[in-house]
Amino acid sequence: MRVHDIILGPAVVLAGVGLCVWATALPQPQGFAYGPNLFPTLTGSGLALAGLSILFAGIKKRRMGPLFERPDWSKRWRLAINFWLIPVAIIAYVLLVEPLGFLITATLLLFALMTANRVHPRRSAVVALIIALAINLLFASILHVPLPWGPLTAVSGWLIW
Amino acid sequence: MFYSVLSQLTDGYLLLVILLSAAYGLIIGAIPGLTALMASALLVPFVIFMQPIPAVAAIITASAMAIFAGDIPGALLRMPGTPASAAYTNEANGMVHRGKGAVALGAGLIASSLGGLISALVLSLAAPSLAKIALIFSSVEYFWLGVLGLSCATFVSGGSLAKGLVSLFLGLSLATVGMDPVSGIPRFSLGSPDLLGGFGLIPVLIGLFAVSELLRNAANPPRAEALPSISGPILVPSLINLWRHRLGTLRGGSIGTLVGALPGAGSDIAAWISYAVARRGSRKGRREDDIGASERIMSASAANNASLGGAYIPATVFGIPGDAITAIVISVMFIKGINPGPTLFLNQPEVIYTIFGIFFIANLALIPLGILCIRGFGYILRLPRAYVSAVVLMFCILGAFSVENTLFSVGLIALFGLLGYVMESNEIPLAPAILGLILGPMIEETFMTTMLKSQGDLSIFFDREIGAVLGIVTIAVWAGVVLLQIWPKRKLKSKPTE
Amino acid sequence: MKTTMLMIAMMAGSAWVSSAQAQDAWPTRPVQMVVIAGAGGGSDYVFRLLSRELEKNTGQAFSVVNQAQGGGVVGMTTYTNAEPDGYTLGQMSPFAQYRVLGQADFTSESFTPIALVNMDPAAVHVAADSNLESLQDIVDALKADPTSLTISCGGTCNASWDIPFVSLMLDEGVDVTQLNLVPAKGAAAGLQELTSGGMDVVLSSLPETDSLREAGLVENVAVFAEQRLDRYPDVPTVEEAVGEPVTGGTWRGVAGPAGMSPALVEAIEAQVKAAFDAEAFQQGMRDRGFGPVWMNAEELGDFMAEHEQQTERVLGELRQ
Repeated sequence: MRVHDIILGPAVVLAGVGLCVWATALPQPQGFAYGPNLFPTLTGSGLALAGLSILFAGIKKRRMGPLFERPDWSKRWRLAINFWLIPVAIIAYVLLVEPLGFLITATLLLFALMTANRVHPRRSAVVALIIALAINLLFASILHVPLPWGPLTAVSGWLIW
Repeated sequence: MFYSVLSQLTDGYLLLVILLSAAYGLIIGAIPGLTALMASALLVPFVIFMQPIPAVAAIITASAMAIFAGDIPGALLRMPGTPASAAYTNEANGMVHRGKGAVALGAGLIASSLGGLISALVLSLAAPSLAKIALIFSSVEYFWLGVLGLSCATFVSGGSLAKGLVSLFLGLSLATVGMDPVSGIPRFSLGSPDLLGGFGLIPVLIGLFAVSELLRNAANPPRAEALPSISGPILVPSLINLWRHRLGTLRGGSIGTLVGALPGAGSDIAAWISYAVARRGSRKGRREDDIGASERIMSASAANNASLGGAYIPATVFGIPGDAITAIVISVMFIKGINPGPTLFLNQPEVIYTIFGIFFIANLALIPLGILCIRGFGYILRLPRAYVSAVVLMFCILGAFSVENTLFSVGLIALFGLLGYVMESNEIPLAPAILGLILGPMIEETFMTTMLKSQGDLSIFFDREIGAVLGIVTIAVWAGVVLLQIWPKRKLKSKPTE
Repeated sequence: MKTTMLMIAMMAGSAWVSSAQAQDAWPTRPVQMVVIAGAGGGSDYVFRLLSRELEKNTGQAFSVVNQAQGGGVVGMTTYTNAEPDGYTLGQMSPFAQYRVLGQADFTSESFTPIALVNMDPAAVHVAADSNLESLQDIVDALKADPTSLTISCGGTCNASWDIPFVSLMLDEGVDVTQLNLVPAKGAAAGLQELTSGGMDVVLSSLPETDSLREAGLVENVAVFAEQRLDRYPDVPTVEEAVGEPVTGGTWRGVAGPAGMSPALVEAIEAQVKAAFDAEAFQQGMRDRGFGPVWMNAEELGDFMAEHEQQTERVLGELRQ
């Protein structure tokens, strides 16, 4: 997703100004000149200024390139799926890992990611399970990262070394 | 004492611990998404109940190895393993794609090792006297150091200065989310405890660099670009490179030791400053070819490993940690009854010099083990992309979770992955945002505490001698950056690239 | 393969039901301990020591989960929102300031207190070359001009170290709203400001100054405790120094989410007590200069209510 500087500039300016406005709503501790709004206001102003300078550069070369360029992948459904599968997989992990536990969630996600990348489903199911088991073993059982066990919670005492 | 130190160091059990933790540090560091900080933090429960010397050795070795190993995914996949390698990730990845992977990684390896050795030497010879210098720094000096550090963003951004600044200010703005460091007033938290905790550096790093890179790969048709192999010898060309870039490496090692010795400035800041100095301050470092890239990579790699040693100066002498990793090392020392402090040097010199000795061994062992690691991961990361991408994503999730222990931080990597993808597509560099996120809290906190101390009188920033000098240097550097931007063309004409 | 997984899930499910019934036999599966500080810090250390003893005694894994974000708000939110089944416990430390400062809305009702294991009094430190030589000097200076000294809170302000100090100054009749209290990124950073001449007074616990005191750079002038500490016999208490019996500092205990059953609390308290009494725990605490102090669930509950009152009084005065 590529946009022309003539659009990018104002977008950044807007973000910067928005930050400054939001910062004015912060409570001010009494008796002191510099409150929690000082730094957000400074960084917001910085954003706005940098955005302005992009806008000016954009105006100078306004005839170069389209205003908005759709990325190639969005025109090919397989690539688009590959792309969106990544954020979707992360969100799915966040939602599923507590109820299902790490082992099942990781297996499902690895399976989905590999199958989408044209690995044969049977093969990717086996590989996904092996990798999920290995990660679970290494990180939860040996390194004691508190990964959720899901349905295995009751017996997880035997699985943490 | 020399013999007792030597006999402690040649203990078989200790050497085994060093070897195992070296392998552990290298593997964790080399896996994209898993960081040096995570490697150290996960070791705590293991070493907490070990003998004192092996316990400290394990963490020192693992962290030194992981800091170097962070370069490997940085170079091969453009996913820096630690914030410290973010400064030169693009540079190293570019060399890999030009078929110079062995040269780039070898250069980084040998410079890391040498940087570590330089700092170990300084540490052993002058720790107590150097630590006194670190204690002179007050919030005024740290403020100027932070602002000076920000200028590094303009050196790494490469392309348009405005876009580099957008990234920098974005990072600085992100750093303000959460609890205000002075009054504790929640900022932009929308009443959510997760946002009150702020955006952690590691999830943002993983999102911006690793996840966005996965997105880029996913969006490109397969077979479009095969990862070039890491072939060819590593050791000999690295040694030749070391000779060619001896000054850059030495300079990086010294900058790293110095910056590392300042509590509050860690390996990441050291690498950035050294990178910026190499880029502007040396004839070789200004070149846009592989020699220039090697010079910058070596300077920065030397600095980030050297800063680890440097950080042990205030840590062992006064128990003041330089960064999160050193903080873990110090608490392990405390827990094991090696209480850092000047009396440690008087009462138990053999303990402290054994610890320094471990640092030497770890940095020497880095060369052979690092070569093995580069080779091994060179093969692993060239397995079919369908498998590698899926597993890397799993590690990104795991890396964010195990540093922060919240699912919120896992969600963040999706958000920042998309943001990083959009930024890259619009030629907004990613590295300055990380720099902003590292330095933002330091600058804000030091500014506000300084103002609290002086009750709002700004002249305090020039009242102290060191502070005034640092302030003038900082202002001069920033003025230079702006001037270079205003007259860049004339400067290029009068001084063609060498 | 899918059937195997299903079987595992079913087995696990039935095991879960039976464990929920046998609640008094705590623990029958691993327990999470949420620590509201980072790996390697003092709180982390205390809880790892405790967890090791609990693991030894119960045969179940106790995993320490570090959630330091938001000054501890994130960690406390995590465990107060967990199921009150005794398998998610957390660190109980000063919490009342979060509500007064608008950071979170914990009250003593948000928790189920289980036991207190550690208490460390606040102390007052000055640089060795300072003109201030005793707590009385500091009180006199602040009485004459409350803005004359810069005081580092040795961490965030409105917290464990400065609240007893401000409380003392209130008793002494100092105008506390004028005090120049400066936050620091931990005691080490505050002490560094002290040695670099950027600060006049630092507040923190005593063990945190060990190495700088040994170096002859820092002097401890008073400790906010009822009696002198065994480890620091030459540091006077506040009462000895200025005659006001003010005490305070930080403390660490074990708590759970609100709504745990009394029988469960009793079972957990008994296990924590056994761990607390273990020689390894006591020795580990002594090694780092932490004060092992025991309070049972009831005493801790009263203590938490008292803590809420003191915090509200002091912060109310400061923020007038």
